[in-house]
Amino acid sequence: MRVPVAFGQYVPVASPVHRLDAKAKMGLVAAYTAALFTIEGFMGLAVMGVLVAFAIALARVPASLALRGIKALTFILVFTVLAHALRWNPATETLLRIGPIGIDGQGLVDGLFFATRIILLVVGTSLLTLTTSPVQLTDGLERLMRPLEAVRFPAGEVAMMLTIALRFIPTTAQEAEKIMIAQTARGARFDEGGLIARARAFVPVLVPLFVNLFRRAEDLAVAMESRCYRGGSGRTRLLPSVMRPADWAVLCCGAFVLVGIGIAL
Amino acid sequence: MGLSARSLGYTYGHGTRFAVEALRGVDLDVEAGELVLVTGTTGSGKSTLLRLLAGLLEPTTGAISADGAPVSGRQARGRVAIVFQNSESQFFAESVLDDVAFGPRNLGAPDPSVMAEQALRAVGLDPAVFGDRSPFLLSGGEARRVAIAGALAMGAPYLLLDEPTTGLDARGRADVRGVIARERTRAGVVVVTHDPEEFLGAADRLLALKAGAPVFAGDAERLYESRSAYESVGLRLPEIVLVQLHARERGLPVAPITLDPAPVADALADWRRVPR
Amino acid sequence: MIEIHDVSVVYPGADGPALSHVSLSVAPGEVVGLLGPNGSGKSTLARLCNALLLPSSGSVRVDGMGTTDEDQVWAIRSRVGFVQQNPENQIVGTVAEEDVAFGPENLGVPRDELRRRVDAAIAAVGLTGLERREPHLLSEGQKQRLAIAGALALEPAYLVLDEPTAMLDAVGREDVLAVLRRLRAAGVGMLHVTHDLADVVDADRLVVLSEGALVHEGAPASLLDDPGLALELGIELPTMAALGARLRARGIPVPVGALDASAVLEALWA
Repeated sequence: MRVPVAFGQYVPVASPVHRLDAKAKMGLVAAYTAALFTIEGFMGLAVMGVLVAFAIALARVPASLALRGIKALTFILVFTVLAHALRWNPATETLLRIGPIGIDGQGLVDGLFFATRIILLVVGTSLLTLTTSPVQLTDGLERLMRPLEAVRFPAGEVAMMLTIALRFIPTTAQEAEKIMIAQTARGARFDEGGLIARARAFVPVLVPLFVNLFRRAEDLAVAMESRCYRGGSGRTRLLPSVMRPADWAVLCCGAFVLVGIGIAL
Repeated sequence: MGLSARSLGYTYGHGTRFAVEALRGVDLDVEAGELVLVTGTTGSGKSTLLRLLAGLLEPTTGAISADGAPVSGRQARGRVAIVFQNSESQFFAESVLDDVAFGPRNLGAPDPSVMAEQALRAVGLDPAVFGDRSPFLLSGGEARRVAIAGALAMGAPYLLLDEPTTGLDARGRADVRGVIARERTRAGVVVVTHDPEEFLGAADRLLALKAGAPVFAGDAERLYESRSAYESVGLRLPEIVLVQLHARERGLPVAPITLDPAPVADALADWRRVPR
Repeated sequence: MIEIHDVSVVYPGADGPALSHVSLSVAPGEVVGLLGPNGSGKSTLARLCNALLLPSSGSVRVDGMGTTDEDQVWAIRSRVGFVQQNPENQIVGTVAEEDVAFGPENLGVPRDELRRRVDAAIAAVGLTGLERREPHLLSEGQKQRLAIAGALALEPAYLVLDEPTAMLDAVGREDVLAVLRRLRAAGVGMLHVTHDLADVVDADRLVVLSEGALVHEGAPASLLDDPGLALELGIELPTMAALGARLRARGIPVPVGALDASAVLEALWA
């Protein structure tokens, strides 16, 4: 028995942020992202940083989880800083010079600014997945996409596809693991050779996985049809997500504040 | 010699805070020519035991050896072969022959196709007929046998099978039982099953597990004599065995316990003096 | 009543018919066991019952509604619940109760009624307390019971089950069969497709298919008491059923369909 895999690192805890409607949270994330990209100085980033820290505390989520995403970004962050900071045979004045490579003062500052922005973006948006269950997320998305049905966009069906995809992520992960073990038992190696050899080594895992996925899709279609699924329209929901006045209040005030910061700083 | 496990124990996530003990204090022996059953309820550790025996997991405690040499990782591949549950869901090649040859090819055998053909014959499938077929278009029983052939092709002296007859119809189950009966004459075979009745007649010994610990180990006769331990953990002896045991207690002349209904019916009817 | 009348099914590109002139009916509250080896047409026949498949010839009617009538399809599918072999591939929801609600949600059932149906269905299969559990954390037997609950939420009059226990271990199988017995007592009619006679020994009727044709129909005793016929039809008699049959032949009154030791012992000392 393995530790169960949770998608998007959803941490079920009782907090004001968890209770906030998914659509409000998504709206706030949109405003947050817009604000981040209109901020011009470190002051603005610092204010955003404080806001995010406050939100993490409010969400009663361990900070280590919230900051976990940063580790995966190390390469991008370093690359961003270096891309702005390093100059080849620079004509202008530099902070430091090692042979033909120079570190430009202003470039370094720029690089750090952009890197910090990336960090804030990732941490802020990961708060969404940490405090919102997959079901709530897809429900929220479906509601937001609803107006698009006016232009023939199949919002209901897309939401259904997302829900099913989410539902099967842990299952598919378990299955991939089983297949890998089975092929290992027949002598397969997944850690030998160059890039191409390793890619080819995964064929005996990917093919059965995909075959099973297609079989699964067929069975699911039968199950869904048998249970009268006929598209996204006309469906009721057991646990619908409704925007309460409190949600609207938080959304409006929050968006106002964020956009204000973006413009002002 | 033989495949031998002593004081085997395994803990998933050993040393982390997610540690789960799946197996402890298990002993198992299989010689070539023997068939040993492993049974238990869900979560009893049966599958963990198989993976350890196949060298896919390193024991947390205890040791496993095959013919004197330790079973571990890569070295285990040619010495212990394993067939997982629903093994036909691991097919990936375009032809049956290619899929069966995967194992010997990985082992660096000089003639993997020949070994694959031999293995197909060993499971009762003619390579001339089945060799070129797509493994995805076989019937349930055929697919299961091709998967078993994939393990047989590795030429290992010990064969482990996890629920080899689940999901098959009567014909498919009979075919698989036939393959196992043939293989146990040359190899040491371990079968994990949730329904020991199917194999009890042919097995040399049975190991029953509950929550990772052994609750019974011994041959069928011993099982029938000391059934309380076995039954105390939610396992049931085959009903026909219970009939004979209860009847013995009431005076039925002692005869070897059998799983075949014909002699049992005759013995019971004669004893109750009911005319033919 | 599910009335299957003289149906034949030919899949495009197939060598021969999957079903050939088969007639079968399931009356309200009746349990019919459908047996036969793989490839005999059992699954095909099962899928005709809720209009998943339409016959190439012949007709299928559910409580008077014809499956070829497009306007009636959804009413038919609410009347006939369908449960497949693989528990995993029937579960759509991210948590148990979401999945059970799927059927009635599709019918636009109002929220209060949804809640009532979901709770009732989950209770009927013995999964109360697991409403918020994610499917991948359930055992195979629990998943299959969840699938049954999903069908029950539509409040069907009949259930068609296509080898529901084939992929389960002994405990899972027992749990599912127990649920089916309870549902039968509650009056749900069933067509139980299986290749294991032990699953349907106490059915009202057994039907056997072979290569697309109906080769036997009768009470369970017709097979249990005739090992020769069972063998001919390719049906493996469970050990205890064979024992019971032989004892009956010797005059010991073991009840037909009894598969446990206590029934045999009682008869011996009757």
